[in-house]
Amino acid sequence: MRRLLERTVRGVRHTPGLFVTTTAAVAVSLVLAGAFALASLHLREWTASLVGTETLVAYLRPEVDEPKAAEVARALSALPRVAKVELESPRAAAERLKLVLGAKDDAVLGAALTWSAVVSAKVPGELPDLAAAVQKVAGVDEVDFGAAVYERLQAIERVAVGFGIALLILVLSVCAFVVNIAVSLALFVRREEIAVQRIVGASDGFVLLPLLVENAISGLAGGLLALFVLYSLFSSFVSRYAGAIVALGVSPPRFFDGALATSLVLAGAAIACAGALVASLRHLRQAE
Amino acid sequence: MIQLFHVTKIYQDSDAPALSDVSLSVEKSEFVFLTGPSGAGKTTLLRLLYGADVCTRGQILMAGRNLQNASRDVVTQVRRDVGVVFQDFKLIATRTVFDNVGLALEVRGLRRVEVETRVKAVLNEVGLIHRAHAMPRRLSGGEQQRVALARALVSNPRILICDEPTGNLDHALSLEVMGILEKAAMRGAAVVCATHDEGLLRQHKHRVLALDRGRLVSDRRGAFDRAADLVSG
Repeated sequence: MRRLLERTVRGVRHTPGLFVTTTAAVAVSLVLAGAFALASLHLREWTASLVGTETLVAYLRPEVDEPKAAEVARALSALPRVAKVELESPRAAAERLKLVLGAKDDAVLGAALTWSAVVSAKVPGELPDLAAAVQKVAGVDEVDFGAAVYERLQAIERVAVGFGIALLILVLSVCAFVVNIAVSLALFVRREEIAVQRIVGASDGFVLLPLLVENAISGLAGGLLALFVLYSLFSSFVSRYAGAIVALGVSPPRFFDGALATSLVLAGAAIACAGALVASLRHLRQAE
Repeated sequence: MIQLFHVTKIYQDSDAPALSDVSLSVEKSEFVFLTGPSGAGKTTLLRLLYGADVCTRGQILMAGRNLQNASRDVVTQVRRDVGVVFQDFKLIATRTVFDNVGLALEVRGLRRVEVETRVKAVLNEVGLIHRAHAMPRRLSGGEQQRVALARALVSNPRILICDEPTGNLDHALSLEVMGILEKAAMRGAAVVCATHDEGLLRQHKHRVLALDRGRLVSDRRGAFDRAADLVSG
């Protein structure tokens, strides 16, 4: 182990510029990938917040009275995707509207209103399917879940996620390419040393291991650097737009938890190791 | 220890074979000179022996292992039985003398204490213990050649392959290097030494294999007058 580390350090000292290049390539790509991951984590939550989270309103038919409304509520509760059902009488609805709209003639308002049920979905994002199921329940007249806004936000979310994934693939491919080039250059610089190692009986593992360790360290360093940059950017974003976030009424933004942060750093090591492995195996095959 | 059966080597970019139908064997403790004019195929033959190249036809057995169609692991194992000395030394510039010699043991996974003991012993043998921590660029040509020799000998190889080991040395140093190689043969190694140096061939009465245009044209033991005579048959 000590000798492996010695050989690794010797390798880094031999080609420090390439070590820095690999670290920087990993860091840049992980900053972009991390920013995308953070954005998509929040996009879904904020989309749900903006359209009234996971609830819809089922307006019952005008002929439905209180006992029948209770029956409808039981039928709605029995639906598989439903978490909770709350009934609202025409009088309660009129009182609420009166407060909101400042209407004075609550008798007219009350006569125009029907029993309604506020239905909460178990999983956000299933509202369109849930609305279709609710619509089929006997006694339900009309279902409102802000379909137009919801669908528009969903479409935006789909486009954003698709674009993000394409960007992510592009960024990671460029990163793998840069790492591959850096490792190939390192191998080229060390080609005579590797040739001598092979002649004196070094196995592939003996030649490869220090390179992999070197690149794993480089990838970890890139991952930690990316995490630091992302956190700095995130903090600056949160402090700059705190007011706007509160005004929108969406949940406050969160940074990666421990597991996600660790995954990001390990992903850096994995990318760098994979690039090193591919370049090294190709070099060893060509060298023989 | 070394056996070649009808070995032919044709390089991809060449029509003429670099080696043609060469058969020979070298026993344990035997010292063999390999001679012939430039382009005769000496280096090609040596490269085949340490697995740097693969023969086009024929079979090569090194210490009982067949190199034809051998896996990378087998080639690695064969190389651990073989010490190689090059005319241009092939020392690693970024390692000290000690580390260059120790590399041959390091790749075998020996413990640090054992590596230290054996490297010191072999550096003593080649008279370079006082330069153990010097970098190769600080050494003279003769010293670098002795480091290369030490690296080849440190693992007590069963086979020693030398490509013009005295090519860059003066007469006195050449004799010193030859003495070390002969000692290795006496200890049981099969030694194959490629050389142009007629003086060496004359002074050291060993078996001499002569190659010419890829063919083994002579296999003689003991004294002779001129290498050119061997090539002419």
